[in-house]
Order: sequence, then C-alpha cells, then structure tokens
Amino acid sequence: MTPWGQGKRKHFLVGVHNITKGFSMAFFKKHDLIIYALVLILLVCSFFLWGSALGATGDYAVISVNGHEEARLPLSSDAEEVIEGFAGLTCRILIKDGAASVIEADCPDKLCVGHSPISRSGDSIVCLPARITVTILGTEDSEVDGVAR
Amino acid sequence: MKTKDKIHTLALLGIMVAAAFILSYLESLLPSISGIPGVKAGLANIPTLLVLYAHGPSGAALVSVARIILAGLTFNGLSAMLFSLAGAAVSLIFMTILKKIGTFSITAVSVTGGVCHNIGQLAASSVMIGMPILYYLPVLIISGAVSGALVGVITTLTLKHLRPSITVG
Repeated sequence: MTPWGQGKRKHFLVGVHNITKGFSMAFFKKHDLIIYALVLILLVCSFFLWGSALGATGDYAVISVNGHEEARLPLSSDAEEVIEGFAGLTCRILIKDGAASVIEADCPDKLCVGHSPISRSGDSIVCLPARITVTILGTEDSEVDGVAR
Repeated sequence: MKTKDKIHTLALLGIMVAAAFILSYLESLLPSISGIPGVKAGLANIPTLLVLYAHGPSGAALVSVARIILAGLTFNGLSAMLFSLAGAAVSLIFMTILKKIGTFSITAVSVTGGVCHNIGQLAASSVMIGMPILYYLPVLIISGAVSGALVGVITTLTLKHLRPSITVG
C-alpha cells in the first residue's frame, strides 16, 4: 500500500481508485481494541478532570463576553440582568434561589436558554452565538483559576 | 494518468461534496437531542471517510473543507464553521495516520475521527471564548465515539456496495 492512496499519482485531483487494495472491509479487527481502549482511557481522564472542575456551591456568577468579564453577580441575592454580546445578540440572565440561568436570548439556537440553572463552582452556561459565558465561582477562587484548578 | 481516470476522480469528488452538503443540511434540521452544541450524528462525515478510503487524504480534505465552507455560509453560521474546520483538521490528521498504519478497521478509524473532531472543536471554541469548557468534554468524547462508530459502519457498507462503480481499471 502506498502511503497517499493507491497507485501512481501526479496531482491531488488525479488518482487511480483501486479501492480493492490497501484496506479491508471488516467491521472489526483485532487491533481496533487498542483504539477503543485509548478512547476509554481518555473518557475516564476527562471525567476526573470534570469532577475536579466542579466544586462546592459557588458564590458568584461571573458573566463574560468574548472572555472579558462584564458583570459579577452574587448568588445570594436575586437579580436579573440583560447582557449584550457578540453581534448585538443579548441574553437575559436570572439569579434566583442561589442559581443562575439564562431565561431569554435572541440567539438562533436557544441552547443557553435550555440549559438547567447552575449553582456549583466551575459550572458554566455558554451562549456560543453571542459569545457570552456565565460561570459560577466561589469566594476563594481567583479570577483566572476559577475553572482551571 | 489516463483522462478517463481524471474525469472519474473529479466526478467522484463532486458527487461526494454534494452528498456531504445535503447530509449537513439534513443534520441541521434534526433537533439537538442533548442541548449541547457539537453533539450530533455526524452523518456529513460519511462522504469524507468514503473519499479517504476510495481516493486518499487529499481528496478527503477537499470534500471536508468544501462541505464545511458551504454549510457555514448557507445555514450553520460562521463561528460554527471555524469550530468545524478545527475539528475536521484534527480528525483528518489522526484518521490519515491510522489508515496509513493499516491494521485498523474503518470503524475504529472513524471512531478516532469522531472523538478527535469533537476535541478539536472544543479546543477551538475554548480559545475563541477564552476559557476551557471542560464541562462538555466527557459528553463530547462519548458522542464522538458513538457517531464515529455509526459513520464507520455506514461507510464500510457503502464502500462494499459502491466498490464496482468507484473502482477504475
């Protein structure tokens, strides 16, 4: 098997499709287990990473647009704030009963509105189209290390 | 290189770009099951994987990039397009390496591609938004593996059936 496809080749749009050579049509081969094991290890590692990022109940909801902090609301008092993000898209953020949620947004997908309220340190809601993030931080967290502890 | 083969390659890549574009569109119509961006069936990657095996990495890259730009400009949006390009680049690099090693099945190569695609996408969005979104990582790894397996099985079946018609000589 030649490394870049099959047969002789002069230009990337030019090639002999001899797909009967070079690979097998089996759904499973013995070596696949290596790949599946690696994916499983990666998954377990990501769960540990996830677990360490989620701490106890947080104290503040930090709202950022494009990575810049726009507002910092204490979770202890109920509040409502409208944040304008990228391309003029806005999110209405509600703090109620110690949890933050996005209750209204004019982004096209509304995934941020569908997200359940967050209250634990490290939790976040992201509105990708508006580039708005709502992240919960504890009092002991510094501004930068809130999530990447 | 015979003229016939050149025409054949052009036709194959053209059909695959068209198929990928349509699959992208169908996928954008499906409601998001989980509410997490990036979790989808990945059907649009079937043509890319097919071309990777029937033609080679260069053709697969062409189909992938053409599909993402077309879908990005028409319905997916520009930020989704950038995330997808990052994911596609990472996944194509890893799939090419695994295919080159040669001892893995198409399904396993596709699973790697799916996982790498999602990790690349997450990395790109982290850089753009300015903070790591670790929260999504486990879900995106599972979804990448499942959709990768699905795409791998469909591609293997498609290659079996198309073998006589996309083989030249």
